[in-house]
Amino acid sequence: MRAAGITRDGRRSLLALAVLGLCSALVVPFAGTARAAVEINPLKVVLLGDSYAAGNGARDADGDRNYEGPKGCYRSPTNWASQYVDWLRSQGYQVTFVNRACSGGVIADYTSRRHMDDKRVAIFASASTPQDEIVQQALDEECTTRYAGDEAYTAEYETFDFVLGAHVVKCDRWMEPQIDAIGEDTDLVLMTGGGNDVNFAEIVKQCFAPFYRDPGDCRDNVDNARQGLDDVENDLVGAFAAIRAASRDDTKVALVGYPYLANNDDFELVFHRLGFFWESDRYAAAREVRELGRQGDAAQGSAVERGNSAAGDPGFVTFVKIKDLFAGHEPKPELGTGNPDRWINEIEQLVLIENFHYNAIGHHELGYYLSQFGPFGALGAGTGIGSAVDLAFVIDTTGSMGDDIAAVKAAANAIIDRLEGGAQSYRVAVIDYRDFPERTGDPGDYASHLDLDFSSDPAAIRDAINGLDLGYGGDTPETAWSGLTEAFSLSWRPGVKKVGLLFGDAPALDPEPVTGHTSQSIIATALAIDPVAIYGIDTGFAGQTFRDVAAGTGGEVLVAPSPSQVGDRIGQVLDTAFASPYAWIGTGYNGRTGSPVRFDASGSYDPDGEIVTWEWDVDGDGTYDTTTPGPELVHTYTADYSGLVTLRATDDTGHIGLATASVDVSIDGDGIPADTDNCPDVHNPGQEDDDADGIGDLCDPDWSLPTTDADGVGVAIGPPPTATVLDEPYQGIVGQPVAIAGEVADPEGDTVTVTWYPADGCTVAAPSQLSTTIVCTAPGTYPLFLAADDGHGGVVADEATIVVTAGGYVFGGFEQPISVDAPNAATAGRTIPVKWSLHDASGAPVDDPASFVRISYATTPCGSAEPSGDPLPTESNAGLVYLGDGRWQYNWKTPKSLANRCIIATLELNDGASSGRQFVVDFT
Amino acid sequence: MRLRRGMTIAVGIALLAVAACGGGDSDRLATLRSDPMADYELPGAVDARDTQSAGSTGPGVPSPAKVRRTFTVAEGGVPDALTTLADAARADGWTLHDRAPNGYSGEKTIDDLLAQIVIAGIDADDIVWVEISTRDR
Repeated sequence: MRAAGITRDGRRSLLALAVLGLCSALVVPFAGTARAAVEINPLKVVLLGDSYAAGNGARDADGDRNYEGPKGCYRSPTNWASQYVDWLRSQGYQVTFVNRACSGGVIADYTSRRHMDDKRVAIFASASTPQDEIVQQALDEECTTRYAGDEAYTAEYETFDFVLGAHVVKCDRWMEPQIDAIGEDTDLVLMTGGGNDVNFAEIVKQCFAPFYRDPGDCRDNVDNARQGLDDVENDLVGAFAAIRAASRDDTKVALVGYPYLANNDDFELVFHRLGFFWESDRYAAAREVRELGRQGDAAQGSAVERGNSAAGDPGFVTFVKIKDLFAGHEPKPELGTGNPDRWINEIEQLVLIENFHYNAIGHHELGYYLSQFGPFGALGAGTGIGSAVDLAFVIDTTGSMGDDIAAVKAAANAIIDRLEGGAQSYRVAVIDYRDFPERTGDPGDYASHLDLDFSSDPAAIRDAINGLDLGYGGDTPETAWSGLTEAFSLSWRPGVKKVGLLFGDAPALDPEPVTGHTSQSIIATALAIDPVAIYGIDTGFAGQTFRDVAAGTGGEVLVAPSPSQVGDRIGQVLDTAFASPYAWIGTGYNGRTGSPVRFDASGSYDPDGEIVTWEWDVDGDGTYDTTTPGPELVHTYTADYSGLVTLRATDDTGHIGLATASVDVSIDGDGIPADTDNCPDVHNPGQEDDDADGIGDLCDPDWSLPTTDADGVGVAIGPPPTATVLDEPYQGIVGQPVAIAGEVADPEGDTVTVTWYPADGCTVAAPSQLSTTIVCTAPGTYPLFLAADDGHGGVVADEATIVVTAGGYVFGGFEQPISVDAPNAATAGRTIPVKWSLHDASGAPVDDPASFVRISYATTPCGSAEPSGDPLPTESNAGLVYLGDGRWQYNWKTPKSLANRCIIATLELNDGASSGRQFVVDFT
Repeated sequence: MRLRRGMTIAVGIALLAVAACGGGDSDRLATLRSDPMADYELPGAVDARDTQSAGSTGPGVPSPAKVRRTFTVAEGGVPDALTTLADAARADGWTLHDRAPNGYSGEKTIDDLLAQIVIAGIDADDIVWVEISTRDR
């Protein structure tokens, strides 16, 4: 099979056209008839997975990269899942979409923490500062995340660097288990899984990436992947069980499969090289990798069956096979060619991990394909039912709260009943606070105490509330901010209403000693958690500090001057929380300075009416800068900005709901500060720098994609040619040409290029001609290869041998009086008649005087066979006589100086060989 | 690219240097294999099966090197097997966390290599496994 030639530039043009053609589709969801907007259908969708889910390769409407979220995850707001979610929204669903997929993810990452990377930070403090304080300072100041609950740091003290004058702390960055985003509020889980478990990246590298690919390594990786498929199946079954355990019984899962990585079976890898021997290998890389893909589908399908069986619900997991969808749109991995209709990148993107991932078209097509499945049977919360809620009680348990705490305990069952009846799903945490014991003098006091982490177990909630004890607490005010901070540190679910219920009778310490917390820092932290709306119940004189944080977070403060009112007030807070709009604007945005950023709040809804006002604070200053008629704001930042954007949604009864998301606006919109960005003008959140020269790959003039294969590696298309060396083995003599010949053929009729590869010591006169000659310079047995190349990677070789004998003479041996079996006795100065016979290779007598060169000799210890000195030549061949029939005699006039010495004499003929032509003389 | 070939090829790209680092993959695997859990013999196991992968250190996102032992246990034996494996891992210095719904995950530094462990099982199939992996380069 022969591909029509198409240039790399040409391919890029085709792709660019395709991307441009996609622009409208990226902005406008797939065609469909929108349902009536008044119907409320909240749906929470969570995306788990790897790079095939996160968004590698996706582009915005301008064709630019738009990755967001933690470094290295490559999440895109225009990935296939987001486009599918856009379609759901167009169908009337108010979708809260949480993308927790992360490039490079394996199935274990769905239920376990994933280590991403580490860094060393310097903390400048005196050498005597306790290590735990240094570690905490590192976590507070240097190793922080904008993605709490998603990304996390741990820190470990290493040393004090006396040269630097600072403590060195190692910070490890982790991704939290992806499944943490799934709860009883989750309606639909989209996921991919298994590719990296069988080392997908290495298969692409070793099978398809120019320069890296190699038939042997490709084979090894494919074989190893096959062996790992059972593990993938078991891991997926475990992941399905984990999702089932974390969610509701009617939560649905869509496991999206993988496409083929090559568009046909024909691509083969070959290797050939002449070293000590001809080394060659050939592997049907495309066919085998495609077969591996089918086996992967089988493993995933089996896992789905097992997962559904375990769940007792055949519709729990839907396996979305996509190989047919992508058929013909996969990469064509040969060098210099390409599939112009590809939906998956070939080796063409400078961000390496975008290659062999969906391009913008692929993301769009897959999103569209999923729309044909509807919501996969997910039911959503349903009209008129309140939202999911995480509620943290933050309760003052100082001595003056006695009657109020008793009232809370009395209301515990009512609180739980109201949660059960009003929330789609709920979790409750209980924290109490008093004051610093060093302020109160009572060692039983504390700034805050976690009584119950988030739980949906009614009994545990009831026990936590009823277990509250009263302490002392000293005089007012109290450490309410520490209590709230303790609550903020818990793992809040994304995409649910979050309520902090602050309950006390005294003002907060503001600012709070020791911790430094202020009302403003509390508001900022609460907003950053999307936000936690703080409601207050003031049973005494809490006053302005409570009202400040409530006003800043979308909550309010209710007064309960009598303990008898406490239960009602809590009920009012819950009613308000349930009745207020649910606002959602996603988790994060990146934008470019001077370019519009589109904020999307279409996942928002009001459970008992409609949202009538959409207000936006785009710069985090607490002032709402603009109002939009609907859930979308397009805003252009004129300067760099890194902070929160806040939406205040107000419903037709005046209740409000806040939503926040992080936003980073910079020149390149990648969220990396310009002073540390290795490519400040180009969007590269991954900071890819594969040559480690400090310049990001996307703007490094010295970095480019490999365009050649490694030495000896090639690509073969179609069946290989054949090559045969004719009439071998060959025989020859040193220095004389030997005729050699071969024949080649190609099953497809291609023109075949031939090359003779002789061994060292031999030379082929015309290596590219089938019939030519070879000459070798020394006797021996040599390999000889005839290689045939069909021009499409099909290279084969046939091996022959050539036996080369020494010269054109056949030495017949010495005659009397010379013996080669024992030393010959002679008198120095006398003439020795040295006789021998000589024939050519055909047996004919040699009568050419030029066949004789001379006799040389070297002294040797008598009785030894080894010469001890350099050989000396005789003076001339004047004494040479032809005796006929190939017999020669040389009358060697020996020098008198050899008296009483022994020598090894050598008869030198003009073929250069000397073996068997020596004799020993003991002179007297 | 197979290092066995020892080829010298002049390509003006830094990827060559990255490729030369490929030897680290087998080093990572060897380090993981040095941990006792990589060869742990689960008492009472009916069968054991090993799989391993050297993973990839680059270019692009590295994939983990890993070693895994999968055990078939007696019917109904998964919970006890998980506990036994967890106890063995802790004794071997692993810090473990619960891993819903059925198992544990954890970490340990092996010869300066941060490694992670997963101990999991499927009750219905009477299988458990312990997998040690690392993404560190």
